[in-house]
Amino acid sequence: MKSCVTHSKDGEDMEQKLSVKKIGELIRDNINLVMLIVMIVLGAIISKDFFTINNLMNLLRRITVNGVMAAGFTLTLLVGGFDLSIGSTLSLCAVLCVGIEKSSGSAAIGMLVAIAAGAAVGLLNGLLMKLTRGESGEAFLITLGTSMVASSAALTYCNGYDIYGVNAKWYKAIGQGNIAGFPIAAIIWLGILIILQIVIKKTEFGRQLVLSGANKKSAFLAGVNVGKMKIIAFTLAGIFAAIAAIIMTARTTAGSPRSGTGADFDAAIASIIGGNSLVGGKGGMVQVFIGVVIYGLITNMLNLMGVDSVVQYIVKGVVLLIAICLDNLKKR
Amino acid sequence: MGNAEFFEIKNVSKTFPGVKALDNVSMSVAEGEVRALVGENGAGKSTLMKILNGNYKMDSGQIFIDGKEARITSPVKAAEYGISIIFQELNLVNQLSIAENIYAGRLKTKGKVVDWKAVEADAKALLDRIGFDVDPRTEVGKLSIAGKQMVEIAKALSYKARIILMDEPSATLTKAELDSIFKIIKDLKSKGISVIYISHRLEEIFTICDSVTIMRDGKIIDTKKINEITRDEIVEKMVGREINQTFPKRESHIGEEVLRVTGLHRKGSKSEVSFSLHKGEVLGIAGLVGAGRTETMRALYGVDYVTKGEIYVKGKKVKINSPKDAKKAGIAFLTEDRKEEGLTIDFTVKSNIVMANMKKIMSGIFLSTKKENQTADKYIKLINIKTPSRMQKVLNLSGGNQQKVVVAKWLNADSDIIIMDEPTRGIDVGAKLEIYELINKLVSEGKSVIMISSELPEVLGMSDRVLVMKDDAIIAELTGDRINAVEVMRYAL
Repeated sequence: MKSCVTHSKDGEDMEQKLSVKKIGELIRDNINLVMLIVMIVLGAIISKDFFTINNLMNLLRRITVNGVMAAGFTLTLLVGGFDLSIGSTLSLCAVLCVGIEKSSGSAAIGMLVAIAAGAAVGLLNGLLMKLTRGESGEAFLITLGTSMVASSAALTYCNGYDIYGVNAKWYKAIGQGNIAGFPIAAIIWLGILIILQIVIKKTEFGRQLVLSGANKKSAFLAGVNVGKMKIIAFTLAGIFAAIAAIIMTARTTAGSPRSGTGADFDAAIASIIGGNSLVGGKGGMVQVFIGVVIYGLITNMLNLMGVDSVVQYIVKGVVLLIAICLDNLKKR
Repeated sequence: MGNAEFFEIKNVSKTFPGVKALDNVSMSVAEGEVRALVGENGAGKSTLMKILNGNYKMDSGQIFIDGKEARITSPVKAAEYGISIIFQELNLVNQLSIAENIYAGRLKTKGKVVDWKAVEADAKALLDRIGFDVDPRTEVGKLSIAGKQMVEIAKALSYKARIILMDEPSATLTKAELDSIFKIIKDLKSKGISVIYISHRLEEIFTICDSVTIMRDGKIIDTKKINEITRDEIVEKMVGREINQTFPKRESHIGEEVLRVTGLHRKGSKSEVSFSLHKGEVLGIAGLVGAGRTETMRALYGVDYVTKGEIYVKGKKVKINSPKDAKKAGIAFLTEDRKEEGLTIDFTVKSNIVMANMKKIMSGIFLSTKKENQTADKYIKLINIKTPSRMQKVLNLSGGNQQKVVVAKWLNADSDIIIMDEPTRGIDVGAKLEIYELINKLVSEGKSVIMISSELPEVLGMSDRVLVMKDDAIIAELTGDRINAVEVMRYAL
């Protein structure tokens, strides 16, 4: 370029254009990370208390339940479906966990029952997904059905009233305690994310799960038991809903049959704005982390600005729609 | 028979990228004549039909009906000219009544509402005309295939069709149903309607047709009165091409039996199959489309449901209920639908290669990226996959290289028995040669290949032994000199 003076200007232009294009692509491919950074900067501008340890720990504590839910939701997304029953499962597991603790006097039994119930709902979803050889369409209707069952079961169990538990100290600690200033619940959540990420990327099972979602035909013909992958992913989503219920009840020391209302959508929105793809087989727990934090920041900021929680859903809905458009943009 | 040149096709040509589908085709059909049109897969019959139907535009040529030129630009235009085509996959809506199917899109109305009485009466009159005694209000979905074909014929008549083309009407019919269709064809003939009858079944042609036109490689080879030609002559004219394609030579070292299938019957199949495969052998499976070749292999591989039969791999009986079992038994299956079934198209070359055998790239309980990369690189080099890197999405590779990725995947799975269904479909000539060389390489290393192909030269050029299938059954086993086009087609038709 430098050898030819007359062309040097064009060359520089081209180089500049190229780099602009490259940066554009880089931004497009990491749009979710960019969103996260923008949100953090916005947060810092809006409130000077934003970067205090207190606020950050508070934020972490707030997003943990949604974080665990989103991890489960993402597994079902990866396997080529999605689970909208996890909100109702959360409600059911919450009332069972507190209710059984109260009646049996043992928090451990309450938690075990909650996890068993979550696993059962998830297993049912998974079996039906296998039976129908379902994809997103079937997943929508199947989990709509099981969500009605779970939500009604929750209301029936506690006659529609909130249940207040005995709340063993260690139980409360799950939701409220800290280790070295770090919320225990957040440690659990991050632990789940790390383990799942390793499983997805580094084990045969994880790879097969993702392959099932990416192209179930080729996965099946390559010897992957696609039905089994669906069952496992949906069962895990149910179990994570139960774990989220345990964390939530430990924090509030109460189980409400309506606590899961909208939680499924929160998990879905977080998962997708983090960059998990609507078509199966693409994404992971890094995206879940990004999405959950973005979503938590949005909620946090709206709260700081004093926006009514009902109105907040307008903003969140719009964010979801934008995320879906971005997901499509990335494919181009 | 009336006007001898009632329907005339003159010098029709059609070229698709890379292939001359119709090369200066001319033929004429008399009024009230039943003409058979025969030819191998890919001879140009379908292209001709789609031109007559207005689906394709011909590059050059003319079509005349009753001396007047017909400019067919759309299916509607074709119908207006009196040309009706009854496709093998019938164009009927199962949920609607017979009457509504016949008059779809042009229902008689009284003001703004449909005059069902008139529509049904008209339909009834048409059905009576072809002697099909059925209530026109019957849902089409409740009819047999033959019944549906009769509805199609009635529909053709409703357009005042003067020439009706039937595409393999017999493929799915029983003998009795076929007889009733034949009766209707005779009836049409007596009314001066011409029929072009496309079929692979030569027996039928001798029963119902007046004359036969034979096509091959996009050209009309010959037209004869039916009583002036024999069955064998038709077969010879159909396959009479010189095989100008060359296949890489290999020395076959055929060893012991590695696969034996006895009495395998899949759900819905008309027949059981038994065959065996030897070490170092290429076993070709020939037959017409729909003969049950792919289905048989899918059953063997555990995709389709098997009702009975036994499979022995290297002398040991194996139970195959799923592709997973087949894989474990050392069987690989390269399906004809490479993009949908063989590959995960928007994943990388690397992850496609390792997907069927991740055990190999484990270290402890985790997948080793290092081993994964080594494995991918090994196969990219070994079978010469042209890709900028192992991280390239297979979506961006050419057809031939995509096929090689599928082969690599199965080599990595340590498969000894490799079933390839149309391995060179949609692949250009140079890449085809590479796939043939790859097949030779595989068998020279002691693997065994079963190759299904609709390209006869390919089957003939590559196979040590050829099985010919027809109606879900293996009806012939050809070896040595008997592996030639005439023999294959004699059985396949």
